Amino acid sequence: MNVQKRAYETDVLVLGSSAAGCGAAIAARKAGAEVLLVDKGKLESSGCLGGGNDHFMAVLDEAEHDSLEDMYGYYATPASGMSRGVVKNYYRAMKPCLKVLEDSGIELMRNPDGTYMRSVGFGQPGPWWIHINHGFNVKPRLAKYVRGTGAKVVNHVLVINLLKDGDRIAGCIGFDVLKGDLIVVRCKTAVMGFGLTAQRVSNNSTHKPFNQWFSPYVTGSQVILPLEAGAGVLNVDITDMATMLPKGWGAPGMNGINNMGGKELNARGERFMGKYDPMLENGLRRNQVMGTYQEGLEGNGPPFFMDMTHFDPEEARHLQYDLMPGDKETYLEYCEARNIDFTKTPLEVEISERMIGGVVKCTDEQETEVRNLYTASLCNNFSAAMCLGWAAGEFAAARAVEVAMPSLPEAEIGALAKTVFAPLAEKPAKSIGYTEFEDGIRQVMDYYVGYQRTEGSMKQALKSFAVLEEYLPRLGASTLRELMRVRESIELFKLCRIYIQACMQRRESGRAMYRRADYPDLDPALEKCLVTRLDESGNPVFQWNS
Amino acid sequence: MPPVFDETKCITCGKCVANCPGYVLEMGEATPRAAFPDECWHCGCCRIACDNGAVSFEFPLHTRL
Repeated sequence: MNVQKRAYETDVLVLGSSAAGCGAAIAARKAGAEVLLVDKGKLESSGCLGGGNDHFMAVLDEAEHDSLEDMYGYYATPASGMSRGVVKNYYRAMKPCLKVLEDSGIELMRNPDGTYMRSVGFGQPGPWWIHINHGFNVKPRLAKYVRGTGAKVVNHVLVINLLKDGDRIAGCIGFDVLKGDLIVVRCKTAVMGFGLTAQRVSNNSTHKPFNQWFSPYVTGSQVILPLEAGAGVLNVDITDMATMLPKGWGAPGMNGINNMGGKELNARGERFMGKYDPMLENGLRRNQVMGTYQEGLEGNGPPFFMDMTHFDPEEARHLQYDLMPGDKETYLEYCEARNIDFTKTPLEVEISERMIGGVVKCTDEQETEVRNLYTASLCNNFSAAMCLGWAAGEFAAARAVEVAMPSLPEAEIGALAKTVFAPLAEKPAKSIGYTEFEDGIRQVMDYYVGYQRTEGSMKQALKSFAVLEEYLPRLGASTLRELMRVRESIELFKLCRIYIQACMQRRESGRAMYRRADYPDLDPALEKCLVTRLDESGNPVFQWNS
Repeated sequence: MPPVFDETKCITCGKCVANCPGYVLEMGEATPRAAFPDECWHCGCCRIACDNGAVSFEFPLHTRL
């Protein structure tokens, strides 16, 4: 292969161009730094935000339970991975981010008195969720704003490794998934803004791994790249998310349905969520998923339904025709295919696939354990991603003023360049494709490491992962697109194996989106974060962060 | 579920192909086509990028079951 090399140099490198990366890029530009924004996709459509979003969380000191203190109570808990300092960063960035969104032409909905139209959600104490109209326009409009700041945008780059100079970040290496160029970036500081959680690690009822809730093109770079660069990552064992999906379709939207008063019904027609959360459907998402799972075990479903037929007809219309297509642009075609009308019949729902990830350990200034490397992705929603991205961008820009440009590890770059193209350049003997390999990962994850599991089932899963490991050198690619998917598969493999080992450390149930049958109760002593790091051989080592 | 393209409206500008976050689309002779339909997230970014209303979606069997 004749590989062209493209090299870039910048003050602040922002990795990932969805909500977190956009927030970081805008804030760093406003602070005067030179910014390079890199993503595997294209800025106008990348990340979860590419699929749209119908709510933006903002605490505005306008209502009851609408203050920074209320945010501390909800977010700055011992097991959240977010310190009070980080929560304060989130709060302080909200108003600047709201201004950017409105200046971009994004339609944040307002009441007749001019205040934002907001709802309560996720067991939070106050009405923090601003409704967005035409939410499918969010990404292209925000992208236009980002480009207007003068940030340099480099699309179509799959990052395979972070590069260091001693203990500090020096840049990254990757390849252009369309052209095949080797990409090397040198930077003074960098911000990790990839997706917090990886999809394609398990299946929903359709067994179609790209038909999932969040972006299926996110496969774990936010966890694996910092770990391999020497940083600690928190909560790999409990950054485990799931939701209720419209039956057969990987779409978001349950926040809007729950917070406007949707009632979940089991197959007996009973509203059962009172057994699992004092705020019923509008409580913690974990309680809704695990409550529904328990109902299934007890023979009370499937099917399960979300009933909105009691809504005022105008509210039901607003939910189905304004908010839902904002969360996923194709929602109305799905409704048409299944003859869904929120005003007439309950919407059938199912428990989704699971997704997993982790929170890169950081200081109150969001600096990771790799010096000059900051993290933006600490919490899984549009607002948290953008606001914490904003804060990380400001911190990274300020540091970039103080430090010199680092040196790049040239020998390491040469070795990595050879490794990354190997599946394409030297197609291995008895090669297998990414689909077969990835299906194997999901087969193990769903069978042994599902919503209910034990120490024994997880040990068995690790034996299966040892078999999968034998196939890693056999992963082959015929095109650059296949090479991209192969890299994603390898990342998924690494993340899932570390996840299983991390989950074995947490001997309790009730803090994550799974139940350990051998430890069925919540253990108050485990209200703390598990830190994962890699040893010199690349194996995970764990430590409780009290 | 993957997008379908209306030949009478498509001007083969390629914006939908460029904006697909999953690299699912390829340009054909008269219109683009979903070359990797199983890898479509049905996010609608192709339709958002289209200035001519040439993109619609057909939901496949598994989403109706």
